[in-house]
Amino acid sequence: MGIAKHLIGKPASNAELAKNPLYRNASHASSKTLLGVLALVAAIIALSFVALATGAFDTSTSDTARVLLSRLGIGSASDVGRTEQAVIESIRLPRIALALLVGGALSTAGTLMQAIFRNPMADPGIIGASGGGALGAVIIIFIGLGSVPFLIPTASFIGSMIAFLSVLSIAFVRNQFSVPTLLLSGIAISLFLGAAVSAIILMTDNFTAQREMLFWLAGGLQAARWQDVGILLPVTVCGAGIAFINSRNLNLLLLGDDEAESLGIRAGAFRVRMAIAASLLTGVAVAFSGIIAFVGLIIPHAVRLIVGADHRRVVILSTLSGALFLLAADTVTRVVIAPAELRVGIVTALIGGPVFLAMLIKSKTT
Amino acid sequence: MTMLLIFLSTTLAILTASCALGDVDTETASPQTPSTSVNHPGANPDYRRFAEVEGIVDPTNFSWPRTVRTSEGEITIDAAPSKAHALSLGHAEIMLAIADPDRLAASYSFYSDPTISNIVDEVAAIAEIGSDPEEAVALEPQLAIASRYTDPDLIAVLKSAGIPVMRAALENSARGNIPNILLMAYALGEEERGIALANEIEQRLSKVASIIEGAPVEPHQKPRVLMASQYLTDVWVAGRGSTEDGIVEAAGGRNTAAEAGVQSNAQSSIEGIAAMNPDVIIIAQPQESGAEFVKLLKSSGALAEAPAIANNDIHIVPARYFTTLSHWNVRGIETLAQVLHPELFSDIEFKDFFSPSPSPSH
Repeated sequence: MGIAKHLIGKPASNAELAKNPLYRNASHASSKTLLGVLALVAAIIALSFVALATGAFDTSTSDTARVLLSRLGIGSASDVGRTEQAVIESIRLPRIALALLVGGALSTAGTLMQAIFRNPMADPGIIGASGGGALGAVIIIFIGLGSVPFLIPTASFIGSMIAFLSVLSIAFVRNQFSVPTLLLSGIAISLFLGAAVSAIILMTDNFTAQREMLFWLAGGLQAARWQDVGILLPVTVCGAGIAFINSRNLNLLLLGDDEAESLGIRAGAFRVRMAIAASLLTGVAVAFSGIIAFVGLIIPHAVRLIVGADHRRVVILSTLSGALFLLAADTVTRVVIAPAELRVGIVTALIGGPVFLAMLIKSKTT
Repeated sequence: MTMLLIFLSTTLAILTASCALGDVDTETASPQTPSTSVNHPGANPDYRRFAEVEGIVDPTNFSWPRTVRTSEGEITIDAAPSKAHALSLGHAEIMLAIADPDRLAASYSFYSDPTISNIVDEVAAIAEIGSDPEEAVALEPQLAIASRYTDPDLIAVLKSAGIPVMRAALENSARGNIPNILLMAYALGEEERGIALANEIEQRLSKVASIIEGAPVEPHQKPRVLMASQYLTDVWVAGRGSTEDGIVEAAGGRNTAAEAGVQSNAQSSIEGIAAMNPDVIIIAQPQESGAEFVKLLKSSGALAEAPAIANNDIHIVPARYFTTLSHWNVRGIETLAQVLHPELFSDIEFKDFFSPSPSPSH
């Protein structure tokens, strides 16, 4: 009951928000945001086509276009080779979709976490969702059920939710929600879960199982299937939608809890709602991709460096940028040493780290 | 997420150490006499083979003390070690082929994993230790044999405890390991068994090579072989420079991953396999998980036209012959040769390598 009571919030009115400096020049900001969104959508479409036409197996651009158009009901691709069609439709297309969804989900979750904690170093893992997901997956592999269809993603998601709810319940001390307690309990539970994952890996005598655990934890999108996309799509769209709808209230959190409360936001309950959305996004992304670092931490931060702190811009641009970034990283992963592949986590770190540092230095010198 | 990554890094570091390193046991080595007595140069077998071995300081000296020089420095071994600690699976496999099993100071858990180990039965009676360096020190071995992957910290701990450490860098080629086998045999005082093992390796390799070379097959007609394995959703292939690469070549095949530019063992994908278009796919992993992988390969539309799938030329073979770094790779070559050239090898029965039993005196 205590938690439920805090989940009820009231959005700030437009009149109240108009007093906020973040909302001045709103129409100018909106047009810039729209331009940014359009540019990112165009980039995503262009990169998706490049990714669809590129890979270890040689496929021509025209054949790729014909297969794609025939999938959309335009024209026919009957003269395109059977293998070529299968590579494009059954391997690359779901992988591209999964990369976009996982990147968008992680980035949105990161944006929410950074807003909730008013801390640019917060990432989706800070509430235990990543660690819980990892533990769930590792346990399933440890008991030898890793090959049962959908069991690892399911266990990973359940692990994420259990970990997050544990963190959340600890944060409700005497029915009072506490952000510092949420942060500290998240760190403590993440450490505990990390230790548990390490212990299980070290206790595993089976060489194959040990490798499976490490490879799963290292993250990747190579096993993407349409079924995965079907599960991830509604969660990501809903999560990003919730974040976007609440972007004005996220702005109010930046002013401090007292200010937010005075503008009609129940800061504690609002944070809990946003944390639930972030944990759902993280949990489902981790379930299908393993742990992919950097996206949830760096993308929202980088977007904020470019467009400022207004979450009406940051949320949507972060979601799209995260999707674009992970698609780019995964395409590099597939192409650079084809027919072998790199690990996507390595590529996100290799690309994301230097780019982010360059942006950071530039922002400090201008 | 950051914290989790720190944990994972730590775990990986510990795992790397545990896979490459030493072991544990409270058992104290008691001085024993090795089963092979001191031998003399010039006698049969051919002790001149030791002259070719890098690391033997005086290849004419077959008495004790004797000195070996490896990348871990020069060590003098006063007497044939009654207990030696093998810090990698490959070293343990070699040691158990040239020395009595009770001279192996301890085993690790992965020595007992039938997926990767060829000495499961032999180490069953040997005390198992963990990755704590203290456990390795507690064994008080008279010699520790490290690989190039052994944790330097462990080596430092062993050295600081006064345990002589030699490094025999195992090669991913059965023939290339012969000098390392002879070096280990010299250090253990098992020259005759070392030479016998080296001879057996050469004879078995020559036998396979002569049969393949005698067949009317042009180089371009050799089957294009892909050695692949699957760990959950990850597909891995063996490229140039991998242990499997040498095995495929020696078994009369062409390594299609190496030809496609894949280096060493690398992650790939179903699309990658389609691009490599192999004639034969060899899956070196346990039967159960191998069967799952076969099912995946056969169900993929992207592979339907690949010759290996179209002709159902997919084979599951024991991983332990292919992943280890020891003379057991010869069994991998023999196994693969039978798979690739059944018409040439159908009448030949290859046997496993022999491991000496403990001598009655022990």
